[in-house]
Amino acid sequence: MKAIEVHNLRKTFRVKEKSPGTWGSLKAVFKPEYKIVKAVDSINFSVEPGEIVAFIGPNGAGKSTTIKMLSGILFPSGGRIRTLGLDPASHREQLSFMIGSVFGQKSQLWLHLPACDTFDLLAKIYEINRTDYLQRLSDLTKAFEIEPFLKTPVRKLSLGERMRCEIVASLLHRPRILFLDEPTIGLDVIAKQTIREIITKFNTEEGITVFLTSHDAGDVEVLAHRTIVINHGTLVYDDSTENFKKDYIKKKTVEISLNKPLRNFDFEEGLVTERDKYKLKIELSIDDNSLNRFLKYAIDQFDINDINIFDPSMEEIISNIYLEQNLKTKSALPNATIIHQ
Amino acid sequence: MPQSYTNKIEKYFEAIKIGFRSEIIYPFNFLSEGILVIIKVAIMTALYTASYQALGVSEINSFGVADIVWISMIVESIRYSIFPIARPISDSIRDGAFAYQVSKPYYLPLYILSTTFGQGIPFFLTNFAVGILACYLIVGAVNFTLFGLICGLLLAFFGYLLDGVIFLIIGMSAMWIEDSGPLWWIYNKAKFILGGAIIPIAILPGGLREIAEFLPFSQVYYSAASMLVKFDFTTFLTYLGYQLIWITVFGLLALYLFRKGVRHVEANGG
Repeated sequence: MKAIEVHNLRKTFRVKEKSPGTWGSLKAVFKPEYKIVKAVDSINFSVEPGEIVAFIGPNGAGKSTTIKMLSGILFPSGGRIRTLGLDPASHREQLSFMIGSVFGQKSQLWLHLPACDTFDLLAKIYEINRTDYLQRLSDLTKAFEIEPFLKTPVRKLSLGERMRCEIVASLLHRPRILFLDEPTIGLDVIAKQTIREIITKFNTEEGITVFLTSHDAGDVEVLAHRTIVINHGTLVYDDSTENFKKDYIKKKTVEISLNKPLRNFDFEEGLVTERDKYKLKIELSIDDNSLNRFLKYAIDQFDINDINIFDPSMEEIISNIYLEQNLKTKSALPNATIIHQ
Repeated sequence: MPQSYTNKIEKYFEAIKIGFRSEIIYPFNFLSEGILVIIKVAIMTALYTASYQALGVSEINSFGVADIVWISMIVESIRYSIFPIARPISDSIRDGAFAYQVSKPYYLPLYILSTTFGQGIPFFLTNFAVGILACYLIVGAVNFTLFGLICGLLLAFFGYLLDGVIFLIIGMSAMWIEDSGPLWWIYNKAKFILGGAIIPIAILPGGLREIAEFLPFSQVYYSAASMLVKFDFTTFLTYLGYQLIWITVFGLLALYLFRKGVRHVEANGG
């Protein structure tokens, strides 16, 4: 049985529209106008048990809508979903015992209480036997290293600490699928790395299927076995992350800030996109190893105050996918989208 | 995996406990509400003493000033303990947070009622304790009976449930009408006028009193308050009957709206 199966899934929203100004407001009272927005438009895919799938796309692409339909939060307008063999719309309660979810922007923790109080509540909600619960909590507390702040009110935790607690909350009942919607949003580099390591560990050790949405190309690179890209409600890419990286994450941007003014910069590779007295921004290719060579050069040559490495933005990746699609369309390829299974 | 009916019920008790715990960490919140009850008792005493003196009577419908002040105190104690959950539900529907709560293995309306019941307990206990002390010092004691106390508290519990179910309906109406604020405002004002908060129903003229007693607004907290102060078994059974009728009517309506409305719920960002 597949972990997730989706056939011709659609979701439309009715959105109220109003003309500007007072007259527009009055008109909207007596004769409201609505437009139909296609958030998800006939998508098809499936996920194998134990896979980590990154479901990515820019804002408004339809990724959160899809994850909410898969987990039973939203009802589809059409098509068919099977999550662990169940229809999430009609078997929501049964399914909720088998899935866990973390929505980066919505907390399931009681903010004024320590996380352990919410864990106790969730243990009852998920009807977990007390002995099993205590053992599971002990294991998760160790794995996620949350012991030092387990008794601290959630509102006093850092974003990274809170997110670790959110994931623990979602794993207490040993779900078979974990839905993560923007799990690393707003986190610093270290916190992101910790979250990624933990997700990988639980996927490997417990075989949990992970379905995650993210804006961060780094999440995709580090975590996902497979990458699906959605834009304007339709799938535009579905292939292994290895191929995705090879195809679309070909360069990184390095930003260095210096303690002493920049002089004698003679590195000949890459594209300098920003340069002033104490700062340099340069785009470097991963394929030809120029990133490694530049880092070595910079460390040898400059007195570095800070260094940051950025992935290409999701918008840039999507535009590259479209660019490639257009090229392929011009070459008379039959498919408008790139779907490899 | 799910185990038994006991487990299914236990989750709502745990919800009451976490609601209670989330409030007792801020004792100033519920202690300050207690101060408001003292002020109310003092105002009510002055108001009804002057009114009774102006009318030249010591009792109206067998209720003296002390009875009326005690009833008003209990009404206020319960009123200040109840969380107006219509607004947070309505807001959570509008900002999309409601949708996320639906995806857990519980019956969401019952879960919301349980957590808010727990949140109200420290407020009720403080208000009630402070109110009893204030009434005792200002107007003296009234005749409490243990049986009356038990029956009154039972009516208070059902009154809370009735209020919660009506608030749920008003909150969930946001799935269709976007802003349930006006409905919430009307219901609160109806409770204030016809629910015994400003004029105890006991002193209303005959026909009007009977109508007010039957309406749900008085069954939220007035029925419990009056039974605590002046217990009468027949009246208790009548009030209990009214409460159960309204809880059934509004409970079924809430159930219908929840089942129908949950398909309309939309979540921000998708």
